[in-house]
Amino acid sequence: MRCLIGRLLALGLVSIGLCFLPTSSRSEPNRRFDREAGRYIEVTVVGPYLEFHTGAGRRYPVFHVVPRGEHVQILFRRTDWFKVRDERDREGWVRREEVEQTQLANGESLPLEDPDRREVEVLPWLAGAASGRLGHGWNNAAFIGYSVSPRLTFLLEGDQQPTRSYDRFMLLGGVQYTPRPDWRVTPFLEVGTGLARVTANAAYSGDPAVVRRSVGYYGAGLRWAVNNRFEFRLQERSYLLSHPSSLHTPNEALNEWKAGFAFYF
Amino acid sequence: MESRLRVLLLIVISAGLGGCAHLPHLWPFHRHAKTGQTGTGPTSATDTAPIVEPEIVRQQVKVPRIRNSNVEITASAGLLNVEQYGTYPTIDVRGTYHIKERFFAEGSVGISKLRAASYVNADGTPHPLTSNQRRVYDYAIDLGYDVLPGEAFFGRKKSFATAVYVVAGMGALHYGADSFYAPNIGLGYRVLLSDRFAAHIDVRDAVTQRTLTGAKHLTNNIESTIGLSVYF
Repeated sequence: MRCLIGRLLALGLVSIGLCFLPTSSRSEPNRRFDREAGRYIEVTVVGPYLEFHTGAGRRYPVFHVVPRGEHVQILFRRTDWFKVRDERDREGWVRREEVEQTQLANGESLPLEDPDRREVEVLPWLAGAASGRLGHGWNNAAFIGYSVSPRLTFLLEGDQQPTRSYDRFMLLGGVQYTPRPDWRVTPFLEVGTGLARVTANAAYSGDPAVVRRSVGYYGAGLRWAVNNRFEFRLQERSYLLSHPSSLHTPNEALNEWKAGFAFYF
Repeated sequence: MESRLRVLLLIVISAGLGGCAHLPHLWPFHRHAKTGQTGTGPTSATDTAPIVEPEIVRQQVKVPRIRNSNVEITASAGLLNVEQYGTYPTIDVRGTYHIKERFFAEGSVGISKLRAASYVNADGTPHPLTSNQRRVYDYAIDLGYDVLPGEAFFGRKKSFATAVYVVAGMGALHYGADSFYAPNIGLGYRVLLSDRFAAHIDVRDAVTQRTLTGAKHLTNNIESTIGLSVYF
């Protein structure tokens, strides 16, 4: 009797256990490729193949190749490299030239946003920095700008000139005009105004004395577009600093040259 | 004779009709037949329409936008050596914009604090620095280049993309109620932990041309930091 009860219990436990065992017919595909299907762009490889690199650069090794006809998801982009996932959930970096050889489900090629710096509707903002000689000292400048047309840009600039006897801060606003924005190396003209705050160093004159002045400037320069979003700049400026507190003191004239860079976003 | 005339007449008529067939603009009936106006051609537009109208509805494919991930924000901590004043803890925040595959621009700000220090004034009297004057602020705007992209292996299965990079740019140091123009150069190592996060080790040298006392002297202010960055 005991033996029979024991066998029945064992049979019951085994059958309950079998109920919880996953069967092959119940299991569903659990690929990220399927789960995140609508979230990312899915394309078909129409070129010979896609090479998966381990990092976003040509120097990183190729670890996998996706052949023509297979589908891949494009996850995100960093510079000219795309993080891509294949049907077996492998992920790698593919360069732009190869991503261009893919097709969407409707047969169209992938719309890759790669605007030019002259397309001011897409990339109206620019930011950059420059450094150079202002009068007899070194000057740092950082600026942000907004282009209303390929030729006309409004700039807001902050300058700092730390010298032995004083620190000069300037906040400037100006307009930059580029007559030929389509040239790769192109000249520009600029004019603007702003305020300067000169603080004497405590080490030389005791307590720091602060002098505020208004500034006007004009200048010219060259922009060299390295690619669609980035450029180097070389420029020359003439400043006129007034003495608002003393009408009889002549204005101070300063010349500046500086080199820098800017990128568009 | 009569039969010859008949043959000649038939030749002329047949040649004339053949010629007219090749000149449709001289043959008004041909035009009517094309537009369906004559009795022999189709009489209305309904005759030309296909029996079954194909119902073609173009499916609008909405393509998700590809996210750009070119901006990197780094928070780092380490040590700053201010020449002649010692080495002190520092924290930095850095914003990087990746322009090209191996090329980036970045701006950074940092803060540190010197311990009790003093400088000698122009008249020779020692001048202790106040608490505010002992704060060191620095900023830099640099361009960087990945010189050695590679991989780092942790165990047999885990590997991370890495890069050794160099940076150069300009900036300024501010301490002791004085500011110093400070061009800088540096070397860094980046380990991409995931798509979003990276770890950095950086060494940078901000060079100034004078000291707090006013003496013309090239000082090297070396900053070593370890940081964690997030890509946006």
